[in-house]
Amino acid sequence: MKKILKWLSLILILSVLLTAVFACSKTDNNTDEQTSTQSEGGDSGNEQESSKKEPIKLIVWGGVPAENGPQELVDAWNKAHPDIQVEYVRFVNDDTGNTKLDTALLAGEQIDAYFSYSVPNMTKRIEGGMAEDLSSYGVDDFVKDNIGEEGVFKYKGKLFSIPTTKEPAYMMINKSAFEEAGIEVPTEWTIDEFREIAKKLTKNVNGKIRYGAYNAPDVARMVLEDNYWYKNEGSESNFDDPSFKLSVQLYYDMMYTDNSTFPYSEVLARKLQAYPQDVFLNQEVAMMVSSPWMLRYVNNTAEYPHEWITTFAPLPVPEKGKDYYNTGSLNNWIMMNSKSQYKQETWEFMKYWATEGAATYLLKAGKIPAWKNADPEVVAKGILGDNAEKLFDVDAFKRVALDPNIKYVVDTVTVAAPEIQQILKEELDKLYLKEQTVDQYIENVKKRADEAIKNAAQ
Amino acid sequence: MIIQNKELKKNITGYLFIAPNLIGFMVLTFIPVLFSLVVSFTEWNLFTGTENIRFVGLKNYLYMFSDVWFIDSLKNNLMYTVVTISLALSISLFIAIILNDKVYGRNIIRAMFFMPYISNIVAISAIWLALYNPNYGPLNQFLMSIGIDNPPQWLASSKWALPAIMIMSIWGGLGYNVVVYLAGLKGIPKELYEAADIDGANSWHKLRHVTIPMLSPTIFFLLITGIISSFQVFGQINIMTQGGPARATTVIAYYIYLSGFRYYKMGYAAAMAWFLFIGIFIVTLIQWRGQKKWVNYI
Repeated sequence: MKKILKWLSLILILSVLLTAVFACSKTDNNTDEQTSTQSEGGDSGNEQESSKKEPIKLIVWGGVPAENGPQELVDAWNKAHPDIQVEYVRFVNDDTGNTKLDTALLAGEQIDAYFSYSVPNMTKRIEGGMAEDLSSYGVDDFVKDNIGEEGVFKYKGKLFSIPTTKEPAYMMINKSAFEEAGIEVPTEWTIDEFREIAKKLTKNVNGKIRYGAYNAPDVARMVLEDNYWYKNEGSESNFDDPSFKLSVQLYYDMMYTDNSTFPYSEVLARKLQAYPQDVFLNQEVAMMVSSPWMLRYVNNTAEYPHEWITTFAPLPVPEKGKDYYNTGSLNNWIMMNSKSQYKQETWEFMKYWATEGAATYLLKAGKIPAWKNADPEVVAKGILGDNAEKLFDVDAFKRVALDPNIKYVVDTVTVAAPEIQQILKEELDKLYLKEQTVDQYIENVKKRADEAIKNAAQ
Repeated sequence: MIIQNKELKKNITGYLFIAPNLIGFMVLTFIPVLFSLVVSFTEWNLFTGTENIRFVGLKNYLYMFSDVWFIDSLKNNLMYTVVTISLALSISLFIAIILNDKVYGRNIIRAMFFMPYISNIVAISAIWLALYNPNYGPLNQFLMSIGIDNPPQWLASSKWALPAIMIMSIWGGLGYNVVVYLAGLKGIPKELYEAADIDGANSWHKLRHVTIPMLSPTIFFLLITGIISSFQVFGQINIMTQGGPARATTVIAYYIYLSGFRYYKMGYAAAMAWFLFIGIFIVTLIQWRGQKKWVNYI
């Protein structure tokens, strides 16, 4: 009897082990199949035809909250394409969120297309092999016909992404603060005027200081051409150019001499770097260098109830009457995961998002579509929402944000871009916390960026 | 022959019993750890697959010492370990001794101290983030109300960010230390104190010559586990400061994570992880040797 029990237990354990091993090998087989279809790449279309009844599932990661438009966009697509069903996953577009996306990509999770929101992030993903070179899908003609060529980012001359939005930078203004101070909202102004106005607007409201400005425009970006971080095609950094000093000096002086900008310590403590809309909508500042995406929060009166009107002015410039670059850019680049199993289908979906999709459904997310055929009237209406007259100065928005003459820079040199971005972040922290002087900042940034460039070249 | 056969059967049965755990450990821990050792001698971007792994010898290990991020991470981590461990161990000993006497509502107080230990680090960090706000946070409001005009900027200052995190970590770990200490205190025979009383010892003498020596195995245990976990501090850094301002609060575990998943340098991240492992191993070994001098097992 004892012996039988012993054998029984042995058999039981063995069977448990066997199922475990079997289960493991089964998943192995699965991954093998996946890699084999991957290596076939574009030819995998045949295989899918035979299994037509099963709809293909694509997964797209983006930074816009699903309820601000992407869900409707995806629903509309899914309705029109029963055989290609798309699922949208939101990641928060800050450092942590971007790392989450990277980790998911690294771990081989199914992500067919994803969005990048800065050139350094995009470069890093392209160099990491996570982005498909779109040349073979006819992206060059597509972009030329639908978006244009100006301001479109290319990596070593090739398109790995499609910009889906225009994100012009402008000054977003609390109109009542200007009215209270008896200042007219400018349609054209210099940096010096901006500084004076910020001083006048700074005052104590209900025991709390309301600062004139949240931040100051990046003068270097406005003045310098493309690739402003670099000299000589990226063999050296350009931070000794006087405009960089002007740029940080302006913000620094406004913060510590005039006390007219929002304190940087508060930016850090409240983690406002990526999403600072609270500060503007809680009337902690009277104006803010901003872009249209933030308007979805202005529109959200349930979460941010306010009675005053938001208006817009172009960025202040060093000299009136001269031409400068806008510090914004084409943005919201949609990219294809190089490991996607359904590349052709993903490409179709990307085209849809970049054209009608974004132009129809993403307006309420505050996204000006990059699509050429988008009607400016529809865009203004869509972005400013149903309550436009109550919340916004509609004319100012059209004049400032939808100005067809806005010039964008586009960086083509990307040597050590992620490293330089990190260096700038660190040194700016120290500068704006008054832990180093402007001159020390320039010296450190220049030295460290040059080193990073040298290391990258090796 | 028959005996051998029996032995063999016994052994097989034994192995089969530990097999589920052993296999799990092998597949999920041991093999990945070995693999990470191999990876540490390579340059490898996880995304491009194992076929693109490139051996670079000791390059990753040598690069560490010229990398400002790594050096600062190491410095911060050492500072963090020394300060939090020494303060946490002494404060919690003090609290445990008080609680060990007949204190009114002892169980409630003990539970209160233990609360942070079982709370989620994310929730704790979010609350301390608000407490530490330089202008409107309750902490600085309080400091200003008692006459300190320029209270520390806490997380928004290179000088105070690391101390701020240390304070939170010490507070968070107190409960666990106190409970372990209390268990240790319960184990000290009453007779020793009685004998000390008869010899005319005052309370300091009793603490110094009875309590601490008798508690030394507990202190040793808390010291070793505390040091090991302090080298793995990650959650609060990731949530509260992301290593900033500048590099003021970066620590090794955080930098390993950044290197691997933000900069895609798996090889370098693995090399740092192994450096950390060897470092902790040596520190633990030294303590193990050193314990002979001061730890008393009855």
